[in-house]
Amino acid sequence: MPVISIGPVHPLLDEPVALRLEVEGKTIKGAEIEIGHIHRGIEKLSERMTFEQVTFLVERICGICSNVHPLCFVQAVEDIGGIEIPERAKYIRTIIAELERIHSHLLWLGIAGHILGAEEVFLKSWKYREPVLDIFELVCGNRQNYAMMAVGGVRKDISPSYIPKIIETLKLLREKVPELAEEAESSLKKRLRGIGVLTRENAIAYCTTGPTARAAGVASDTRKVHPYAAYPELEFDIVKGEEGDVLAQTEVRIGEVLQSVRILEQALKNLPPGEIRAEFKNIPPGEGIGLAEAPRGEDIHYVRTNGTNMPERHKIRAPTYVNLPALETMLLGNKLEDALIIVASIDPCFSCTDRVTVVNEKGEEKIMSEEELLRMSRNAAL
Amino acid sequence: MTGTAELAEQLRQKLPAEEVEVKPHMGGKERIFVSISAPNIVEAARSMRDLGGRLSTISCVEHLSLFELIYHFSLDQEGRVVSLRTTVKKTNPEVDSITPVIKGAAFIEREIHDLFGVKFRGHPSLKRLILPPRWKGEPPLRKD
Repeated sequence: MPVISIGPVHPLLDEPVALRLEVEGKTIKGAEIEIGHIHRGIEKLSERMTFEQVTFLVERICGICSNVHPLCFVQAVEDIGGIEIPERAKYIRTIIAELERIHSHLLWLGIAGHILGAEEVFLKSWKYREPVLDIFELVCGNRQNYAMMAVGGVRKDISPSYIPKIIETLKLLREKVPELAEEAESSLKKRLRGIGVLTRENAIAYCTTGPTARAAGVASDTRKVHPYAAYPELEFDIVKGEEGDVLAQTEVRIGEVLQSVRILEQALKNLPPGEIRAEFKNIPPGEGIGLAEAPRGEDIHYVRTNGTNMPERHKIRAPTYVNLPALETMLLGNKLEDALIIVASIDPCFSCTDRVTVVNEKGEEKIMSEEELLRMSRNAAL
Repeated sequence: MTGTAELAEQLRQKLPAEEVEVKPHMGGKERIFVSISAPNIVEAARSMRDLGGRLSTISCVEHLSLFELIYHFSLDQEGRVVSLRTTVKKTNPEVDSITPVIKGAAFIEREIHDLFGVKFRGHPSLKRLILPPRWKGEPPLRKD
């Protein structure tokens, strides 16, 4: 059977991943995934840094959901130290986490539109993502890598003078996101329905999490299952689908943007006054587990301490790590031109570059550029 | 939803448990750690799966003469994290693979095999994942 190798530097994915697709005609009959091309040894680095430094280090694991890793890490350390964080800090953590989810999901929707040639979806969703980044700039000083989390609370307060601006943005999102959803649905629905199906059984067997699992009907959300920060005090629904296809994943993400707006409105309204960071002494020897719902699913950090101010062991598992293997089943039986959007559907981090090597039975290789691949993806019947 | 003591007792009965520890978790339900002897790990993982547990990840911690493997499961119905703890000797770092009972463990075990050199018996494809296929050196996360 001919094999098509995609990657390791993959068009439209900024985290290099190698896919080997076995194809019959244009139908994918087998898929194998290889990772490890961007392993940076952060777990090892973490063992040589103080708890304070590690918070900044892990913020750099991901450029899109950069808040969620420090959030997991500080929660694990707080468990070990028995540190109770102030109420206001819990709310600020929630606000940052939800703003991050909105910007990440809108970014994903834009890229999905771009891959499929629906540029109006790309332009509009990025247009509404922009004001969210403006809020980050206002509140944290950075549009990415917010540096807000700290062991014991948060590093910066949200000044009352910023709140009207945030509320204004939420109003805009509440009004415009449903319009955007309608537009995305009308231009992408036919193309996304029935492709890249992840069955409920497989979603469970592969231990998938986040929108990928929820689209397949598994109602698991770390914010509800293992509540942290201010989530227990806020009302929101778990958005889930049934079909498990790329369309269901899209609907789940759009639904979650609106739920995040709902959470933010409550959090800003009820934002308690007071301190933002608890004082603490040395972190004793022990172990702790930090969990948080990243835009892509459950993120987990395991920290072991030995009484010094550095972790002895720091294990990090980002959500894509468990969602990626599920692609092996999601790609089966689909057309080659849908492969890009299916890989993209689990929302690994995005960027662009490079080429795909196509190998036919005789071992001849053909290099496909990003433009050719994009053209193939876009020309498939909408 | 069951209380911590009750759930710990249930786990003690349903799993081949040696010891059950309860650790505090700030602002939430306590974390439960269950010690399992290495030969029983597959049976324990299967029981966790049947209880509705979702494997989150496996943490490997290095000690002077042994590796500690901690299998973190999320019991979504109970809203609990239950971690199974087992140890393997460094002189013969081998343990049965849980991939045959939990498909999602395949990548996680391959990563530990790469970075610590722990072998997982019965893994369907224990190839290099993080390290390049031709890697010849010592497992890079080992301290000795």
